[in-house]
Amino acid sequence: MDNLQHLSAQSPLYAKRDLLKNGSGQAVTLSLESEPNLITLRGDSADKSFLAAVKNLIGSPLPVKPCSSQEKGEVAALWMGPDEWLIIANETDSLKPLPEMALALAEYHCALVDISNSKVMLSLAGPSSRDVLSKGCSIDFYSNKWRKGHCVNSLYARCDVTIWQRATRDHYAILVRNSFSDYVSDYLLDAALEYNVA
Amino acid sequence: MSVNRLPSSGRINRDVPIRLRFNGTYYLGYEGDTLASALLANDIHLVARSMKYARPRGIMTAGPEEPNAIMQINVSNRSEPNPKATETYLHPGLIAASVNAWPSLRYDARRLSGIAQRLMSAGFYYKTMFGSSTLWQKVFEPIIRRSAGLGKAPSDPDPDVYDHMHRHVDLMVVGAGPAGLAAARDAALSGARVALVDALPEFGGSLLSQNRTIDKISGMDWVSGVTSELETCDTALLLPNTTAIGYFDQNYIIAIERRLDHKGEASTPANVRERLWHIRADKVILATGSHERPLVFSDNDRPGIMLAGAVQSYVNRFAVLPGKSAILFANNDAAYEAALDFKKAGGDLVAVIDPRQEPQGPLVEELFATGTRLLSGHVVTATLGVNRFKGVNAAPWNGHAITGKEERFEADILMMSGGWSPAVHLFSQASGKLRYDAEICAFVPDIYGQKECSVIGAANGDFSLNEALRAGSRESIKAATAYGKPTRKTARRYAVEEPDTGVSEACWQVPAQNPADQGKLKQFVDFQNDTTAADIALAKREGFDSVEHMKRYTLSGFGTDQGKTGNINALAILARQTASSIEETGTTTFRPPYTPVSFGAVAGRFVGPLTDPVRTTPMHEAHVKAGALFENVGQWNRPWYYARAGEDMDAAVRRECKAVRKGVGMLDVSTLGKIDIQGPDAREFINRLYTNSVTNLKPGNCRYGIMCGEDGMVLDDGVITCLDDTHFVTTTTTAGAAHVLSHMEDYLETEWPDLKVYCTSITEEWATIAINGPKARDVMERLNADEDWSAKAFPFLTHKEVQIGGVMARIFRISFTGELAYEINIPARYGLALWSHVANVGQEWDITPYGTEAMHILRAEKGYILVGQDTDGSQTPQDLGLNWIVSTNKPDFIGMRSHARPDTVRSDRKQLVGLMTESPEFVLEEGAQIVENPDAPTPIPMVGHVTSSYWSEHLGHSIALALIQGGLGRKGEQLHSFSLGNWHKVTIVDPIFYDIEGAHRDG
Amino acid sequence: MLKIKCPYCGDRDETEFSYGGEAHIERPDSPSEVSDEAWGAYLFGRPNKKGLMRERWFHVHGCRRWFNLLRDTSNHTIIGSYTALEKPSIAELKKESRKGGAK
Repeated sequence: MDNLQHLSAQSPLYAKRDLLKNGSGQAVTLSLESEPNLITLRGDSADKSFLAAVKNLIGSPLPVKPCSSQEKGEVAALWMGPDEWLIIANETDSLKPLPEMALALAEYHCALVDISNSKVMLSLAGPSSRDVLSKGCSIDFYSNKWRKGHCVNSLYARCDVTIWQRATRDHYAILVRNSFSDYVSDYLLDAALEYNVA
Repeated sequence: MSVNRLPSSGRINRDVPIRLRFNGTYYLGYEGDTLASALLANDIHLVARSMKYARPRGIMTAGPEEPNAIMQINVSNRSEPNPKATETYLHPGLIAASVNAWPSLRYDARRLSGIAQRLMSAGFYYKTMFGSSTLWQKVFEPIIRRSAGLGKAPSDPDPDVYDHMHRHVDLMVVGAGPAGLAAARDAALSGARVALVDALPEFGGSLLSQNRTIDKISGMDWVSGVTSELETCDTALLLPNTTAIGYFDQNYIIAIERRLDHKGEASTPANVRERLWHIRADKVILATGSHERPLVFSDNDRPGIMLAGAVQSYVNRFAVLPGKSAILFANNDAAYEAALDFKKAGGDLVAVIDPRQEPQGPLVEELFATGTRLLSGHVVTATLGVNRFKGVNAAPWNGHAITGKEERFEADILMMSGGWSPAVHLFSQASGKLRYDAEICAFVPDIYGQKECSVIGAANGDFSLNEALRAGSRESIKAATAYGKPTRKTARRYAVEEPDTGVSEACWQVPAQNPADQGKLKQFVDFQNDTTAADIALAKREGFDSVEHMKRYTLSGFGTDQGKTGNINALAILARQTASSIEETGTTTFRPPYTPVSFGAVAGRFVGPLTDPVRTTPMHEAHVKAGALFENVGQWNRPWYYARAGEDMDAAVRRECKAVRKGVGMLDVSTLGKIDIQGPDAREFINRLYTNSVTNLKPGNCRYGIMCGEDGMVLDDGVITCLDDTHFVTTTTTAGAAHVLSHMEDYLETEWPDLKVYCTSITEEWATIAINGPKARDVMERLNADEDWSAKAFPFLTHKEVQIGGVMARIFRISFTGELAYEINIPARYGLALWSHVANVGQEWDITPYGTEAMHILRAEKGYILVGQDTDGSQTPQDLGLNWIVSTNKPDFIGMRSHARPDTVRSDRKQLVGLMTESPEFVLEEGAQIVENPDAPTPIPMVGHVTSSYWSEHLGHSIALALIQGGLGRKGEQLHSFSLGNWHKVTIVDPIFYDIEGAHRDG
Repeated sequence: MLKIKCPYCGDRDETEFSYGGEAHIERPDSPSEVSDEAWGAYLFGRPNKKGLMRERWFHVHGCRRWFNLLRDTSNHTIIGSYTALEKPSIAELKKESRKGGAK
């Protein structure tokens, strides 16, 4: 009997679900994105054939320019390093199962690792987003490098984060590892208070 | 209106009067007043007692260089020690008190006893502490404790909120005086990103205090115009009330913005009191101005003796005439302008005493024309008054000695000026080198320490307004061209009306009437630390003749004002004492911060619950519910033990240990690092990383592994699992996870780039529960009845993927307790549900969650090491008795060569052994030292130390692990350990205390 | 705090990096054939010189790449950076740095 019981999944920020559901304020909103599928892909960015094979497989091209991303439909690929990408799929079925993907890339030296359970994705939006980010991160958010799709790995409040611009302006996704997500969201909510005062 | 307040003018808001309380009495000031200007408006000069001699002191300056007017400021629930009255802006509810006065400001006990005066010469601390220790403890320390230090540290936590903000700019301009405004102007108009910071609440700098005309309008109208222009630039960050306190490499500037103090608002996380700005600039322009310096003459510290420029500030900026009558003692023409402003405001200028033999220039002429008595070639030889300045004696001199008779002059205040020193602090902090400019008698910037930096205006020794504006505009156009779309190509030409200030002549020290260090008259150099010219002479006599030694011996420049006024006088006097030039003597090192900064601002939001990330596992909620107490392991919060009602820690841990040995326990091991290693060369890579071989490790099998550094010392340990021929998973210790991954990437990227391997951290992907105990198999059968969990079908050190509760889990037969164990890895989102599920199905066997304390005991009973507890980075695997895990067949692995170094093969290395105490109940202290003969003369040679020590409930006696010299060959030997205040006999035993045969492994 | 140029990500604050000591110290191909003295020198012998030094840095909180930096240890001037497997001459790095212009 017992083994028929189905385990249910729970986000690390479950306890904050109400706080993060409707955003947190007028000038800046912080919310929890629906949990996307995340895959770390490692491979040779100089291998054109590999890049083409991946594009064929996931729909989106792989970005080769540092700190950039590519997006096609429900699938996005973020540059994480010269031989590393983070593939983000919003719908479960927008990607093939991992073993099938691995099979499709079997002829290349590459690695696919499912990290969907490792991180949460927060959404930060509003005209003061850049200041909220600047309170915890030394990246230049006012630089003209920041356009839709720009992404960086850096530290926010001393925790590893990926910050990814989602719209023409004032909308960012923040990916953070589970165990730091409570702290990072606390810090973000605190940083946003100044701008959400009526 | 207050007695010294001028009827009109000034930058104060007369529509907003503010009541302040100082030392118990209420006074009236206005919005825009500093505490200092409000007190002076009420004719309060005596505001402090000096640190060492308890001499009465008054307000001397009008800025951050103030050495005397140091306050304890109380506002509602906040008490802040040591703000300067000259930097504290009035706001409702301000309560200020003098520091360092006991029992009261007017009657100071130390002053009356005179004890300090007679005893505390320079170097007092050193001499006394190295002398009689009794005298120090009984006599001096209590006196010094009462008098030393300044304000009282608050006893409650700081109620205020502070934060940090990062910003990158093209151009950072420090100082919004005329030079800084001109420097920011064209750059900002070009669209370049510009930050302009100024310590004052209002831009304008020297123009706030000096009457000037720029482009035919008044200086302050010009300031308003430029400020309005800057405010229209979206890319300009304008920060008044902001002091740049540190200038670091690659144009990194730390500035502190005081956002609420001048308004008296309470701080909240939405409205912080102070903000620490981290500004990274491409180009930096320092327009930090200059500081006026005092003259060194006898009793130059009486309340009412002020810097001439400060008086000019009080008159023009604050509409305060600090006295009805004044005497000027100055060696430069700029001070004449200050005296003339004092006179124009209605003050009575009694006399001007000028050490120069033949002062000349338009300002001298102008002063002469007012009929004021001008004594050229004269110096002040003594001052009158105790709690308040009353007058001076002046006498002629020839530049070295007094040459004539003294004459007495009386007035309310003495305006003094020894010239101006460029504020080169930030320039110097950032490795800039200075040069002595004899013409202006000051150090000026010479060689820049940073690229793309320029110092302009008074900070560069260019005291003329015209030159400051021209330099500002020139630099601004350069920045505009580099970073923006310049609106003009050439520097602006500002039409400036300013007096010609001529040439000043150095006057570093007025001849003392009595030999140095004798008599009552004192010539102060550093007012805050009561350092006198005689102290500097004493330092030199006693051999402390380098400037850095002199500073430390006399404490000159060590105050909260960092000697902004007096440093140059100190080193000029030292130069004369050592018969060298000022250039040769040099300056002491300028270090950040430029002005004191509150601890709160440094901490920012990293306080309270945001102090540091607290990492928790997916099962955290269940641990809290089960009453767990937590232990920090790195940033992780791990359950330490789960106390049930009425249990103390010992009882809970005993119960948990017993459950694992007799029944079944469950432990959250999600924090262990997990690394996914893939690629055709993965096996080879692991062979090179770990001491043992995985050449024959088959898919589905696990192996314990040790990892060493190149030096052969144990770095980390864990379990290596082969998923398939090109895919492995390894675990690391909780604390070592990040480092091990970096270590792997280091070798792959730099040493062995030919190896085709990728490593990915999967620590957070999987939640892990270790189920340990003789009943573990029963629990597993309940979790999935379709799987064969027997030792035969699922042997020790193997791995399987099994469905649990509809989710695919990775299960490992590995044990850190010696009991039958299964470690279930499940995708992290299911961790909490799995924990509850296991706890639920395990009820039948009373499954017991256990914490890290029980885990430590259980592993120690088996002699399993804990990297970081039983090792400290100086143990080889051989030292730990782990020879069996060090391959001798591999051609190489990291650390292998070092295991053959002469030092690592020594037989007397500290080696890991077990210890049994003579008295079985006694638990040794961890870290306790071990000796062979406790009766040997001290220092007794130490042969080792205890690394782990516990009470073993299961064995019924205490157990300990220890590192002992040559320990592996000393089994059975009796040694002695000093623990908890006594000697204890201990016997060296095998470190495996429980189940040496491994009989319990399979249940 | 230094501003360090990651060869991939560009200028970042020092907080994103960790230091890895002197660069271009080659691990002997066959350590077992190396004398104790030579091995000891490889492990511990570092001149720690004042002036221009090639050093290893790890962009641990960024792209997680190890790379090399040419830095003047006497005044923190950073001349340039390059990837782990390159070794451009000092002149080349200086030239590259000048090309960067006002930055």
